[in-house]
Amino acid sequence: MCSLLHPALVLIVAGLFLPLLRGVYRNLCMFIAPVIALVLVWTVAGTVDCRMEFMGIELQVLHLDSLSRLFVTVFSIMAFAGLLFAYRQAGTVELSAALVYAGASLGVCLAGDMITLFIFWEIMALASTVVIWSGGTSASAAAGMRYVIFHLLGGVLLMAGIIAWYHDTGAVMFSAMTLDNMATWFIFAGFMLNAAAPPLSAWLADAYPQSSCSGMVFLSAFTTKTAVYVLMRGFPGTELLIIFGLLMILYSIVYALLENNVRRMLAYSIINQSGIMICGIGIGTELALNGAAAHAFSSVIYQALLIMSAGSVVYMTGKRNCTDLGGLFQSMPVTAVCGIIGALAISSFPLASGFVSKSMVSQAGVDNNLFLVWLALQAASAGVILHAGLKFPWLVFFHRDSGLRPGDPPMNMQLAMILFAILCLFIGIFPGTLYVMLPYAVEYVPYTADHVLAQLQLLLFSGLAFFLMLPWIKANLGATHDFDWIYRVLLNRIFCMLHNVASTFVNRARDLVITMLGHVLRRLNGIVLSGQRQSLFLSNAILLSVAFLLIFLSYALSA
Amino acid sequence: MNKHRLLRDENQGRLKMAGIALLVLTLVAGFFIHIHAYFPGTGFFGFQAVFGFFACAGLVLLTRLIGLIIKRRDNDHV
Repeated sequence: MCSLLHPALVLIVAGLFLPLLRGVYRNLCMFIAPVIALVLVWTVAGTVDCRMEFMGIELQVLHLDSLSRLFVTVFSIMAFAGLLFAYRQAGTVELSAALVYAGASLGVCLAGDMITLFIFWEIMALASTVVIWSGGTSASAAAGMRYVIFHLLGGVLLMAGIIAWYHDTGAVMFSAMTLDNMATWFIFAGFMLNAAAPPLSAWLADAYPQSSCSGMVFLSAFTTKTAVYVLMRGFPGTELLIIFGLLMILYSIVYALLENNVRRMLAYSIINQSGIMICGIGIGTELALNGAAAHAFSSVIYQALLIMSAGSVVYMTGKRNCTDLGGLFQSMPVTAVCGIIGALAISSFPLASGFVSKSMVSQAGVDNNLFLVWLALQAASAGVILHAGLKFPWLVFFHRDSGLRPGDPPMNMQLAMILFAILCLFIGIFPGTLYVMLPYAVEYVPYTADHVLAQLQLLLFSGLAFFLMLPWIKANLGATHDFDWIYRVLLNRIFCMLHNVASTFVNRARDLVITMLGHVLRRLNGIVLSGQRQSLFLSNAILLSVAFLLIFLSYALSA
Repeated sequence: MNKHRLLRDENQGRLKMAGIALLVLTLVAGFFIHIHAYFPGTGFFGFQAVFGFFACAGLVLLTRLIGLIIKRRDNDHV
């Protein structure tokens, strides 16, 4: 018996009923659901477990502790702000799917067993696909199809792992695992696909920018961060994650730096920030896990803020490339200021949220004497300046005047941005409010004079390098081939080539058979047929022969 | 069309000077605030500034090289 109403069900049910409601009831249903979820997890203290039996297997459908409470909190806040940003522009289908998507992500974070986790995992995949399809273009339809294929593949990997795990251990409870058998490798691969770890990463930059301006706000928050959550629960201290995390950081910086499309650039910055969290999970100490959790919390907010800001620009101008934009701070001051605050937060600038969370992961690298990891994380801090930190706000809001004067977006979109901008600064200025929610006790102090100065030196001189090399950066802007080139170009070409070879072979073989049979028939009967009639006649003759042969065989066998 | 005051030529120069002053200030502050060296070889004066600058420059160069292989036309794949 469960003493707590499942918060995931509140959002999912609200999402399913949303299309039936109109006007104020629709808005009420939409905005109250995340608030109820938030109230539910904060009105109970400590750990809560709800168990039930399903087909003889004991499931823990709800497991609420400090880590899951942290993720449920940020996802609920995200759902609320995302709906505020979207509710006047997005269609009912998108809003409904977004609520189900948010609810399913809460379900993953609250799942105490792997079967419950898998069910919510798949609901999340399907709902997020509908969010992408709500983009309403042929490109979003195609990207959504590729996205859902990838995520169903991830689901199959996860399911295979869970079945193998149950077969080996007889248990389905979700707890820490080690990569020492095939079952855990499959589960790990399923999780890593959702985390967008290379080479299973191209789906993110392919699909997210094809969604609507509001759709990408939801997409940026839930899928990758639930993957971070399950990796934190399932594979803390797995050293392989450090390598994957660093690879994600470097890969995403390179791609984001080359990208001209603003929303694709920010899609790569999602991978970049997830890389930092995954690195922290790989280090696996209490400080590192606290850092990864804190960074997940703050990054959900500033990533969404950046994407709201970019989405507002795209929504108001209809332009998506950096090279078509510029000088927008004059007519979009609110969007520009919010975008800059998001950029400061992602760059870990002192007094912004990223500073108080990312530095915990770096400090964990120092404490474990991981010099290269620490150096790579410092380089990652510098590298963020090159895309989301400076490239996005500079090229979009300042730089050259594009002559566009679109104005700030509608008030609901502005309010959502202002809410998240305030949260970015609030967490940055009062880190204790975030630290108190973390799974382990925090002794870390982010604001020391030498830490602040070191970070300022790192960021400001990175900024200097950005401005000095801006002509090179601009000359490189364009579109890029990602790992999706393998299945969208290479495999396509291979299949076309095989199809052509097979078609030629079949055509030649058919012509040869027809010619030979025609020759034989002419010999036998003196029938002279030509062209299409000959082919038709021979096809019928062959079909009749096969039919007679089958009848004869069936008769012979039955006899 | 009137130029925004941040875009006027006389203010562009002032903004650049302010930026340079900020960079110098953060370096000079290093004389008064000791930045803790976590690893050997990272404790010299202005390490973070030098590292930040060259890390960014290196990433831009690396990206330029990789870009030669992975760049595509905007309408490819579509």
